Amino acid sequence: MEYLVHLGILITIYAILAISLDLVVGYTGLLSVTHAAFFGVGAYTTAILATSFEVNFFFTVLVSIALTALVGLLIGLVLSRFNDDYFALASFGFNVIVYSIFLNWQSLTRGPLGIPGIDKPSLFGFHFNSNSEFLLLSLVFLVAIYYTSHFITSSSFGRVIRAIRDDEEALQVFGYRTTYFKLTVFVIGAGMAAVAGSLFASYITFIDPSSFTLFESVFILSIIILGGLSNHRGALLGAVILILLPEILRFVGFPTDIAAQMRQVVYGLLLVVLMLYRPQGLLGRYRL
Amino acid sequence: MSIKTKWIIATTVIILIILGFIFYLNNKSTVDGNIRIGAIFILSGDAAGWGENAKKGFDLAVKDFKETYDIGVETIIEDSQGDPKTAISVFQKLITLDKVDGVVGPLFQAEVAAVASNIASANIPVITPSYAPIINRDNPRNPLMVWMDPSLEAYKIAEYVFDQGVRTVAVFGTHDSWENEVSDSFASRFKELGGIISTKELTQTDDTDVRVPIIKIINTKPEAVFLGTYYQFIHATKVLNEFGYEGKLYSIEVDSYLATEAKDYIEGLEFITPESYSNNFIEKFEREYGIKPGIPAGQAYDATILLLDLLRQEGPREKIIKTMENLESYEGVSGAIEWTKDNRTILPTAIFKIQDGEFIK
Repeated sequence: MEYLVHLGILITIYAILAISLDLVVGYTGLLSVTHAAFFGVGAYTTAILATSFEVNFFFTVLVSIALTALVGLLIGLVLSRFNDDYFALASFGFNVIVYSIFLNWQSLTRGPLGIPGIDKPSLFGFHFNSNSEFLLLSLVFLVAIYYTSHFITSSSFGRVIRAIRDDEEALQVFGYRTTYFKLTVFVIGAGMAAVAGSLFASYITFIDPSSFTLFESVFILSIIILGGLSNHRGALLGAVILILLPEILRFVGFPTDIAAQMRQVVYGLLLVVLMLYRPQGLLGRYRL
Repeated sequence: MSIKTKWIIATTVIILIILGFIFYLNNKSTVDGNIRIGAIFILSGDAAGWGENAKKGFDLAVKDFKETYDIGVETIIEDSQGDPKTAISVFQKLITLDKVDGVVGPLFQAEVAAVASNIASANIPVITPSYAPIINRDNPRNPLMVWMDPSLEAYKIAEYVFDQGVRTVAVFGTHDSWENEVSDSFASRFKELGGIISTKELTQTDDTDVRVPIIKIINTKPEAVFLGTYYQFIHATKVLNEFGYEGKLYSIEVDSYLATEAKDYIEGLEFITPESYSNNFIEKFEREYGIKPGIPAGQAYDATILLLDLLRQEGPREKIIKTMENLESYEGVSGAIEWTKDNRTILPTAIFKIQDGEFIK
């Protein structure tokens, strides 16, 4: 059962990432490929505070959110000058920059050697040492993020960001400062991604830059596209499918010599078929 | 089909999958007397070649063990894709669903570090044909490393280079953790001896254009260049040759693949490596697979045989792990492996020179 619990934890972490990215991509229409950078900033903040200063996990989460939101603000201020494809390309560049910082700022991050020995969370003397306890904790965070995101998208703010996605120029004609709204949602998304980063660092107990590459941003984007943009339940479903699918394929009886390669082929084929059948994603309401 | 129906179908599918897992879990059993071991290798992605070599060594070891002791061995080989979180998933599957008695692997330093805390809590013997810094292992002897400590190897080549009368060296490596450690260790030891590091350039492992760092190296006019890299060895030597570099070249753990691919650029290059695999192993490997063993086939072979030998002793896991903690040496196909009191892995090494495409000791 530890195996299933482990997968459950990964699903909750990636569901948080997906929901946070969906606010930016699905609801606001900003094709961002920077999310792994925010994921990483959150993770490294928790890792450094926990290992170097022995700060309690829950406090590190707050600091991670604040710091990552600040990073999101700085990056967002630059990205706000771009639209459409140029926005995506620029966000791509920022992911690469942040990854390079993780890799090269060795005095802070230990570079490719990573940061080991990150403690599991504890609260008022209770230690979340077992995987089951950690799963419960991450589920609590997921529920909080889910309902926060739902609150945002159901509010007037949510209506404005959807209007930006649908027709930004028209909204500007009505006097809305769309840059402010886009920047705000970008910062909120970054802050939420930091929560996932903190959970990831504390669960794996070791982080290194290889977990926060551009490929990871693309993976998170794939989750929300598969699950369906502009739909929180779609983000959840996408996370479940993309985390479980490669694991399920381990139980398909391919010959050992080609099992790994066949799983990759089948995984890719299934994704292609899913997108052919439902290009807007399984529960999506909006296409990029 | 209504949304409600879709949700019912999706939830049913997920519940069936979970029940399938539970069924698999409850029906996984070992044939009496058999040893069951798992392996975590990289079988897809950029490092698949490395993982395939390890798998060949692993399979050969299992075959030899079965023939020697007439004991049944079941193996489950899983692909970690070189990703730390996937390595944890695979490890959890091996110990909880497959209920293996021991594990060989994983192969990357980051994977070992990620799995280390799980190994400690699972209390299962793990031997890996890999290396991870001691700080990244909860128990420095579990996982047990059969790979030479790279900093010790790098110190030796630095001392050799200094003894050759070279006083200025440029270092080229990558941000891979092993290569980074090799480059850093070489540079620090060479400086301790009184040498000068004219520059140290590190690139990404997957960069296709290394001209800029190589130009920087050449511009510092070093007497020699130390290539602390496997990933970028071919690119770097090619570009050094293109820019007319005529100084000395030194490196570490160059194998026959690198030597073949870069043969036009590395005449006279000297490198340090653990002694080559035993002739017996090389012959056996060639008979089995029709090719010479590539790294880390020998190390994977040693890790597997050592693990199977320990499991054959049939003690409780704690006893096996205790044995691993007290192990001092092991005669393997990759050489006489020693584990020091401060938990470093040492193998006999030698300096080779490449002449006319051949490795000359």
